[in-house]
Amino acid sequence: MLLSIRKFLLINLFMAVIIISSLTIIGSYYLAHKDIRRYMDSLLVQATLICQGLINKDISEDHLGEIQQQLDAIPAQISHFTNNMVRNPLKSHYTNRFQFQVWDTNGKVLLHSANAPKNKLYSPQDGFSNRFIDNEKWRVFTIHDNQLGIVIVAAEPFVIRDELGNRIARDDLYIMLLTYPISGVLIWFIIGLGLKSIRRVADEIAHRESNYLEPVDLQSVPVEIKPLVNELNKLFYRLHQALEREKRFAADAAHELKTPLAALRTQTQVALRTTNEQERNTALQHLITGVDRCTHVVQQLLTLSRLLPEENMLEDIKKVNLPALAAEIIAQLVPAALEKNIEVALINRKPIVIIEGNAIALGILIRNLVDNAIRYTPNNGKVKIYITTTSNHVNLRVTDNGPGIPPELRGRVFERFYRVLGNQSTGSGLGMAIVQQIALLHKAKVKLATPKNGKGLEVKVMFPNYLSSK
Amino acid sequence: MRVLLVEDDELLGDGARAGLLQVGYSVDWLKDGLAAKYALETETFDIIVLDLGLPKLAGLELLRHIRAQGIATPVIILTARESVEDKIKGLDAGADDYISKPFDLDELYARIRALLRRRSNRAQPTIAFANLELDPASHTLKREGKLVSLPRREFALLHKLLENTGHVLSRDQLMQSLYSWDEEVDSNTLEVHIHNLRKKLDADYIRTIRGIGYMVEKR
Repeated sequence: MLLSIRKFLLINLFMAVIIISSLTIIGSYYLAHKDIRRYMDSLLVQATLICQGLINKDISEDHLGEIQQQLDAIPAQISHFTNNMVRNPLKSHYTNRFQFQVWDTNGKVLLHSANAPKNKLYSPQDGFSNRFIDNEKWRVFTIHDNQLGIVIVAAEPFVIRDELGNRIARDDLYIMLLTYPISGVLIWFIIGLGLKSIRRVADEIAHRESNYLEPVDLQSVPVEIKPLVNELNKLFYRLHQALEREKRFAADAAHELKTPLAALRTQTQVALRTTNEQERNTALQHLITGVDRCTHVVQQLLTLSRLLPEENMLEDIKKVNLPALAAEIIAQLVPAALEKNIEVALINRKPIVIIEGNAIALGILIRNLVDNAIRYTPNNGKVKIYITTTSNHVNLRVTDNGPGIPPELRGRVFERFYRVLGNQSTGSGLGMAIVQQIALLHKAKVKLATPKNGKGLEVKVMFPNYLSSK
Repeated sequence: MRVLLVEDDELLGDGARAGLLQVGYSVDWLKDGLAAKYALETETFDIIVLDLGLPKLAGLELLRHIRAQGIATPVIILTARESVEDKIKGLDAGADDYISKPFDLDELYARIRALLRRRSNRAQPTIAFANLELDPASHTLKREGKLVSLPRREFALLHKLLENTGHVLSRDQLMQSLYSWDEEVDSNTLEVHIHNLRKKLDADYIRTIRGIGYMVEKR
């Protein structure tokens, strides 16, 4: 699990730098060796040819002896130069290792460099060869001058080449080691710069007020984290929407409670002021009604707020036997109906109709529909609940013979706190909003219509998740 | 004083009506905007207490309509909406005052009194006339500094007459300011009240204009 981009980049980039520089050192070590070899070989050739030129086709002893004298003086001259005249003294180690010999065909040394080995360095063939002389490996270039009857050979121990190559490689390595801390700091700095834009976005989000949900400006965001910020913006938007909805809901709720509260206050004041016993009793009765109404509104608000999670998820989905559930709920509402002498009937042909859903939510739906029907139906009315099935739907219909709702207003009853006639004091205005929400959660449709007999209201809920019936 | 209460909420309407009746106003309570509109086209009220969220015709529309008709009756808006914008909208539509729910009945009374005072161009909260001093707030009448006990209706009748000194008030106007529509009243009730007032005030401030009504002359 990658937890820090900075750490990951730092470690891996630094590793990459080490690997690449190591490869470079190894590569340059081999290449340097090759170049050194070529270069030194060419020096051998040149030295041999110069030697041949110096002899100048005169192999008389006088001439050669003169040259040999000068050759023998060279080491002393070099040490003179190295000690006095040159700032960076040449290493005698190198300077004294380049040797040459000139032999005649009888095996006699005609000329040789001051420190040349006594043994023959040359090989029988012209050109380059590698030879072991005095337990040392030598690189040798040989020319057989058949006209003069001499062999000219220039030689140099391999040790020198190896050492040169190694020295160059070692210097490279030193340079590399010196650059590692620098490249480390540079990488760290560059990563920091790159991550700065991410941190800026993070800071911007971190320092937001909790209720500031405006989107982050995508213009100032690096391409790489644009998808992330985009998703964040979407989340902000959804949160904003949800928050707005909640705010509106809370405001609506508070607003809706003001009228019942005003009624409570007024009725209380009337009761306090009056000297008339009957008027006081009436006001107190009204007070109780008002308290009941507030309780009802609060209960409905709570129900609705529980049903309002944004994700539209319904938990605890089970098989529900709709007629049994309806009978249970309706039984609880019968006393309220009997108070108004309203006849309530549940009509279902099949005793078992199974749908998939949340039993508690479905219970609330049925309660609201039947409760509404009882509330809005005048005394001596009729409320009927039908449960029917089609090939793939279960229909729950609640009909009453109350005043009904004009078709043009039917859409509005699903709005929160909308009350059709306004003078029905006991409704919360939330019942149908709750029904609608529960129906939505069950993917069911709610339709309002006029019953067949032409009077009252029919609310039809069509459930698609029909499983079985008997 | 005759108050038109337009409130669709049963409990609040009932409470407000009872409260206004307690202090001697005659109250007509209507539950939707349309009924109020019709009532205002034919009847006169001293003050209108108007809810905004009304069925059939919204309170603000009703308000604009009656102002367009030239009805200048003072209007107190009674509403749960209390944002500044709402208040501005209400006042600009022609309301004279604004009271938000839940409210105190005493505050409602005081605001009604203030509007009535303003309408009759009085600066004093009490009405002084000859040796009388009528205080609408405390519902008291003083004659030469001494309290005179008056029943609710008689006080209201005197209040109405003193508010309109120099104007003849018809029998209908006076009856409407004393009784709501739903109250059953004998035909000579007004005469009885006038008679009682004259007796208690010990002076004939109230002139009968035969066939038309009554008036108190300006002094």
